Amino acid sequence: MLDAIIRFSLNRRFAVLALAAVLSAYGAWVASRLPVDVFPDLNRPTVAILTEAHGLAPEEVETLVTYPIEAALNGTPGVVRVRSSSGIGISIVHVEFDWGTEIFRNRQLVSERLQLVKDSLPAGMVPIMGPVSSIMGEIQFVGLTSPDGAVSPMELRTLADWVVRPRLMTIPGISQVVVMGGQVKQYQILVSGDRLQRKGISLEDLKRSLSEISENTTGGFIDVGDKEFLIRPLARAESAEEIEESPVGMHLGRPVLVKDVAEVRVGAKLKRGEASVNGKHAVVMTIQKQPGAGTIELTRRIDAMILELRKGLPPGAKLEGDLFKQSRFIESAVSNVEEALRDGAIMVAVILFLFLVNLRTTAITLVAIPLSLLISAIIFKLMGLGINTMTLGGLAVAIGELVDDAIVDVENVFRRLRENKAAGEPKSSLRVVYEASSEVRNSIVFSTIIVVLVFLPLFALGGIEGRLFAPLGVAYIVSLLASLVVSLTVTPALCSYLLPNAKSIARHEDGAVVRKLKSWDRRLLAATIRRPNALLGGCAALLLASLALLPFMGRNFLPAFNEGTATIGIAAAPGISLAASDSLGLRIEAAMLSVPEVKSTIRRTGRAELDEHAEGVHWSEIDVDFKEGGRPRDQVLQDIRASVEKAGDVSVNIGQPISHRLDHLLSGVRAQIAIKVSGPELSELRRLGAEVEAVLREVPGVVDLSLEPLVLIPQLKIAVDREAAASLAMRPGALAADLEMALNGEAVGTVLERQRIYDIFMRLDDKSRADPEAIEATVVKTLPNGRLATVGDLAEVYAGTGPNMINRESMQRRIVVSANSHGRDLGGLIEEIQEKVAAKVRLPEGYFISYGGQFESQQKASRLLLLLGLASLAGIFVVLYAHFKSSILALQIMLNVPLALIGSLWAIWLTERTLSVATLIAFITLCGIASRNGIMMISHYIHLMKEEGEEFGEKMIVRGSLERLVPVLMTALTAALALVPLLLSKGDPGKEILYPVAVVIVGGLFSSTLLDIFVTPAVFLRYGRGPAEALIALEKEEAEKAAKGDML
Amino acid sequence: MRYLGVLLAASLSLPAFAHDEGHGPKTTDAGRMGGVMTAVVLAKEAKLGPKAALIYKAELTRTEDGVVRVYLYDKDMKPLDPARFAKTAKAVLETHKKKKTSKTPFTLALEDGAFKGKAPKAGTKPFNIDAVFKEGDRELLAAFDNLD
Repeated sequence: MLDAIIRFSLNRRFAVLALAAVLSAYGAWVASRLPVDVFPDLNRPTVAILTEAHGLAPEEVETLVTYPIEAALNGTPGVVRVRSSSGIGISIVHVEFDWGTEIFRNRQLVSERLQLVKDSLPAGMVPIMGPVSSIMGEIQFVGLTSPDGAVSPMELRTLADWVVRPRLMTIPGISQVVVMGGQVKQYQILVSGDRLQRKGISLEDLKRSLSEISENTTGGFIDVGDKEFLIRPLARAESAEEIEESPVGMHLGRPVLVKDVAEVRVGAKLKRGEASVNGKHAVVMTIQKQPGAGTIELTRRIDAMILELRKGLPPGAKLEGDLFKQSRFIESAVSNVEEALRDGAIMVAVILFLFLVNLRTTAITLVAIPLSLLISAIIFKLMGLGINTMTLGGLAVAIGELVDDAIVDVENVFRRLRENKAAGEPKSSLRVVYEASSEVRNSIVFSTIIVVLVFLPLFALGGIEGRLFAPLGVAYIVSLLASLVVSLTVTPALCSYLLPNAKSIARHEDGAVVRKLKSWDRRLLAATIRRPNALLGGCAALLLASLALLPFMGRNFLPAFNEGTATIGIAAAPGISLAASDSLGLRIEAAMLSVPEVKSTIRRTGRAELDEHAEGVHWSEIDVDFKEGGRPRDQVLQDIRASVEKAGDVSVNIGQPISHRLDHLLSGVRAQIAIKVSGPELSELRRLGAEVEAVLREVPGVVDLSLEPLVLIPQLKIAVDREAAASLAMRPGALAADLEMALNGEAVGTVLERQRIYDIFMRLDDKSRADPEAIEATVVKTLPNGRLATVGDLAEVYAGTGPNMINRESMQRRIVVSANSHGRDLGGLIEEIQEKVAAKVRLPEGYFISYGGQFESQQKASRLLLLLGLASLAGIFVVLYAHFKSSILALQIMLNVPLALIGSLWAIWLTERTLSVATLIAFITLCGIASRNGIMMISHYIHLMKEEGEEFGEKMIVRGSLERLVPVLMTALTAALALVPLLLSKGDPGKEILYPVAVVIVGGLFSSTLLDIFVTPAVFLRYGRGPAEALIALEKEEAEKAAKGDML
Repeated sequence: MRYLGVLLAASLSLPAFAHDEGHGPKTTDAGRMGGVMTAVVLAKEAKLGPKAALIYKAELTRTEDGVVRVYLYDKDMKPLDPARFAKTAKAVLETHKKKKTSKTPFTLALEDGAFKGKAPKAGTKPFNIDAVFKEGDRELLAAFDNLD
């Protein structure tokens, strides 16, 4: 069939070339329209459920809100993990579904379960699902500021909530805009406990009265004559004055108005978060995109919208859009990989010309690159793939190999045309091109099949690694298969047009470089071909020496990304107030801005409503954007860390936006090692966590050790005395509810202003809730005898402590001790930690420890990759055996695999000294590429024996080796040198994952090619005679049978 | 007692709400074991209240079934060698109800670097636990107030 394809292409060569031109044009059009992003879709379907719990303590939030929601959601089909955080006034439950499940179906399931649990939650607490978001979700920050202070924080926030956010939300592709900072406007009724007491009004009465001060209702319809009228009873308050005049009770026969017991004002809603831009208070809007939305296009639309919005801003307000933008990282990463692709292609062209010393052969060979890439673009479109660093990476890794098939074909055609020209009775050039192409087609097809086959098992990889590398594999395989098709169709067609009349065909000599190389090879072969065992022994020793490097190499899950921006988490001591944490944050921002490379900072302290984090006000997250150029990023970050630590007593965690989300996706914890202690009691968990932390502190190689800051924070407690309450006929629950309203406050109505809705909010004024005795003096009930019952009569008010947050996973409370490894093998480190923890930490009944973190994903992926690698090797063996009908020949070809391993391991040792999933995948890829050399050599020996009547022996092997030297060196050099641009830009955005891949492949190709040049001939001379002669005899027999028509 | 509490609380500024002004200076350290911190003073100086001199620091952890552990640290929060103390310590659980104070003694014994014991069940909230340790000739007091 392959011969038929070549024959067809040569017979209709013009049509084939015309079709190739059309495909190229279409491919170019398609490529320019493919969606662009930084990574493939890495979203594991997760649904976040947020429940605002009105200032409840974490213990209550956990028991009353989180637990019922968790219980309802566990057992939902497809759920793999449920984890939660219960903070002050907030419950966040993350429901993680299995990869491959459909997010909208998952949300439907969650929604159904939430319906069941809704009624069991405390009144007013409504669980809501966070929007469908993407792991690369936070695409841009927009800041609203007033540099001259002309616009108040309240006006800025109103502008953000009612003008900017709604307009941004209209852009298709945006899933959420979270607003933080400024002051949320509300009408406040600040009740004086003292005046309330004097007017003899209890909290219970006040609450009831206030709930009735602002309401519009409907009176139905009335027909008057021919007209219908809608009846509208209008009682909604429209100003603070109207609220003030509302009655709330009677005292000594006279009505008591709101203003008699409270101050009514327009004020700022109590907040649990604050924000700033470049060290100045601001309203910060975080824009999140929907999964699948193109970030670059979306950013363009947001920028256009910002320009439009700026026109309508009041004087003094400034809308800042040039803060953090993820699109910058995407553009820089994609452009970096595109550059690597371009430079790789140039390297390939240079190598081809150096070896072929012929413009026509170089041009024919090079045509394979753009043609294969453009065909790949068409297939990307058909498969729903886009352009990202991984698909481009697949093409970058393949680019040197795209010309391999064409090289082998063109080189053979050129040689045969030259021989034909020199022959006495030359055949037609079309015939020669056909025969020459047909001669090498088997080695071309089999070597490509092996390279493709090797990669197939990698599609079984799960998790993030699978999501990340599958597009790379698809791009790699698709482009290689495209290049195979090109080599069987377009290359022979072009050869038939361009080569027969080339002047260089008449020349009988190779180029200078090739002559020199062949001369070296001849001498090398003379010295080594009779010493196969010594060569094998030497290679084995080299391999062992290389394997001995393994224990000294570090392990990582994935290489670190260089996102160009930093996300700096700053934790002050839990228990700090928002005001203090905010002023600390401002100081830290100022310190950061003093670092010359810092361009801008955006700070978010505490949390905003709709925010999917349960962090307390002690936590600040600062996103730092950097200027171009300047010192190396490591130095800059070190400088930032030092300046932050100098600014206040805080712990600093420096990360990057996307990496941070990836860590959360992996284990819910951002560290290589996460030791999770689970059990029922928080105090025990804190104690056991501290014991585990103490054990880890003594283990060498443990760095960045951290105990999850689940600590005790101050709480002012009001413990209801049940006996006292009963004696005054007060229900303890009702009393607690009244106190919630008085101290925490409650929205009792709304005011409408120009389609904007503002809450009417009631609580005790600051004086009445300033200290314990003021709270104790608060009247809670007027008794029938006229006596006033106060909080102090019914409860004990005291300063105690309580947890700042409660985290749970799989229905268990848990605390996490996290750490990273440095200078030690991660597997060994984990083993030592497990041993020491088991020996030193005594777990009470009901408590257990589990080990997770990146190492878990890394070990799982490594184990799977080892199995997949073995499967790939078995696959290679089967294909080779099917082709050569000999296990000895198959094993001889596979000898290239350990030869490649030698170079790879030394290359890693000389560069990063770290193994990651990327390096393991590169090892497997290399197995296929390295096998090509052996196939080309041994296929040619057999061809010489079978077709040219050469006798098995040293002479034939030397001839075959010299004839194959050029294609072998060219394919290896093009494959390796095409990756050099990736090697020379370690750590550049977009190339982080591709760098280790390039290191492994270049190192492996170097050693396997170099060693293969003399190992394969020597081993074939020693072990190849029998299998080669048997194969030739078998093929002859089959050919004779076929000729006689014996075969089916 | 309630009025006394109000009086005492009035004298303290935020966030140091407390009915009991404690013994020894207020500690601001976070507990290494995630528990409650207090000053350790000479038992004979207990009457000096917050003016009593700080000798060491102590941390209390409790489980819901009443198991208490007390860890002792020096002024810089370095764990102290338990061998310098007598192997048992006297502890008292103090509760207040209707102006009456009731005290229930229990014992703490040295185990795994902490003084451990089982506290009796407190009938009311809040309650206090006072522990007295012997170090050579001197008796040291760690008073943990406003527990619940």
